[in-house]
Amino acid sequence: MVSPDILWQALQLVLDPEVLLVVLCAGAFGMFVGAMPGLTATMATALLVPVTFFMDPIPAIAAIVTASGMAIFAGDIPGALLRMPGTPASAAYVEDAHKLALAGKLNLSLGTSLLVSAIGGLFGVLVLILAAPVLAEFALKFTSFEYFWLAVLGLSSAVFIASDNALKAGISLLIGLSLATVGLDPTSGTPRFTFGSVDLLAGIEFVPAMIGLFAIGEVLRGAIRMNTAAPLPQVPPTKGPLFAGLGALIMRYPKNILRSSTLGTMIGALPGAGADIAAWMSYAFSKRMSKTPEQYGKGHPEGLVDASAANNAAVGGSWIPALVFGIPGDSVTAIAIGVLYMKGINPGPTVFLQTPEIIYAVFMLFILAIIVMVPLGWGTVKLARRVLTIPRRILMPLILTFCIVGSFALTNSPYGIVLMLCIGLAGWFLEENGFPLAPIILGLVLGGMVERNFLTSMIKSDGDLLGFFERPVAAVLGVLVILLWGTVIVRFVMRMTASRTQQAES
Amino acid sequence: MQLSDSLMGALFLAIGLVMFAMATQFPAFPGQPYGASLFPSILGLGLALSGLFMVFSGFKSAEGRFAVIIDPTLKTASGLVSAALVVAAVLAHIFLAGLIGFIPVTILSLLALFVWFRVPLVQSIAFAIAGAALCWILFAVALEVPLPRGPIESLF
Repeated sequence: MVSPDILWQALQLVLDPEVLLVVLCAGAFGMFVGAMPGLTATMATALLVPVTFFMDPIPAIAAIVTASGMAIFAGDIPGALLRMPGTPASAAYVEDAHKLALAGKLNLSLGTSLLVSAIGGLFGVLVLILAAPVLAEFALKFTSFEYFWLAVLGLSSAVFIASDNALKAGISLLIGLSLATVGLDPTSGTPRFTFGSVDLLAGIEFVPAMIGLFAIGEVLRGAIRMNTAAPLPQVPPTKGPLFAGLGALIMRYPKNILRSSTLGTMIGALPGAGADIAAWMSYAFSKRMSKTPEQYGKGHPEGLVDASAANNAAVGGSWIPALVFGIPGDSVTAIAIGVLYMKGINPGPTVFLQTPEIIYAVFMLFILAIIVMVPLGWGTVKLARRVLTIPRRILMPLILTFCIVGSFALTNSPYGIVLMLCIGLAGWFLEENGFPLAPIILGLVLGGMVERNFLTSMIKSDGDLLGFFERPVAAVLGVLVILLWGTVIVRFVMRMTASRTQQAES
Repeated sequence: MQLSDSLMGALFLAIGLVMFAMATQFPAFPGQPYGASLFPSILGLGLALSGLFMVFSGFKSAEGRFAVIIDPTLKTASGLVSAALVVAAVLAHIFLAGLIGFIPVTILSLLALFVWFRVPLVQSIAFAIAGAALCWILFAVALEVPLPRGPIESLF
């Protein structure tokens, strides 16, 4: 059990005026980015990172946690108003939310999203608070073998579970891992893939790479369609209090909220799968379990309740593997882990022992972020019509400038901008061709750790791969990895033979 | 811009093979069999294999085997200029900012983009100056980032 002393220290870290100010500003920023169609929660985080680089660890984490949580809720606002989900996490139930708004029930739609998001978010955080310290104690006994398998399991599930094209996701992951090998090899100091460049000796800087992947691509896409895009549709009017009649609605679906919060937390905890997949899966599951599945997509609040709870619960869930093992659950936590590394904190079980006050401060920040979400969300909904009239043609060039300055700030030289541009263009090209970007950032963040644990394990077992299975937990994890790969390969072969017999018959 | 799966696969097959060939050349510590080259070699091999798979699956698919599809909006002059302007703005910051300073480059690149995106001229000028000033205050003054200085910046 955690001592009151540590909780007190953590509380002092959180209640620092600087942290509170950061939470407020990052919250407003997240709300704004999430509410703008086409700007994602990941982009909100990516744009914040250059600023967090100059902060202490706790305010830096506060900024990321608050902004990403807000952006995921705020994505519901343009979804309901314009049928344009602000973030991919809101796409699952955009039809229901928009039809409710058209029927004059905009407040019911957004009020439900806001309150249920808060409940789902709290659920995810509670699971995080209860599960993480227990898991961390267990993880203390882990050696390089367990960490190697754990990372491989996480990365494999990012490829196989979280994407519809495993081959392309796999290539994305290999690209990310390969980018992580650029620079001086950590064990022997050999320069690798530096092509004689002094800048590349330090490796691929994570922040410019991430800004390139998640912001430059979006800016480029937005710019290309800017002068041909149709103007935004009319926003239906809003009147009356936001939370009227919500109590009754929430009381009608307590089981849905509990079920989807659990599902969302679990999906969030899977590496590679985040809020958007949680929303889609819980919406589909809710439809299957519902007594009135035919109402879904026609302005029925039930699916909205489920998916809103799940996508915010996923935010808390995705921090479980991130804090305990240093293995991020989605691209937002991958970015957060990168920031922690920059601050000299290596996420993993030892942080729970050495600086538990930081861990508990992070827990408190989560709760604080959810508490702040309700009034900020209320304000954003009230201001939404005005926010949505800010023209994208003014916003996009400003975001581009911010990306450029942010990348420069990390290296204090144009090298950061060069890196951002190259990776941004490559990322844009890959995404146009159906390659997911999240595995690239997971690979880039985890590459060093995977390689270190792999080499250590190889040296320890003297190159004997059976040695990777000698410790019980490592064996279980290793078998899980093999089972996962086995099922995928068997399914692939079955599909190939099925299509061949089909071809032969026709 | 979209390439067919076979072309994409061929690209990754080539990258993977080059990476593997380079990785096997990394020097090893004497007496230490596992060193700098092991992990990147595996990755290079993995990329090459995945690329090979993509070439095969691309050959089976209905779409063209070696097709290159260019996004229709990118084919229009307007879309192409928009994309080129975004890249040019970044390049200007890389190559010009060191010569004439951060603020003029930012104002000019913002102005070019605003005007191209059909923002009224007065608004464009106002937002370009405000945007440059905001970035300067936030990063150069508050966060002490050494943004490139030119004649304008040396005034303060």
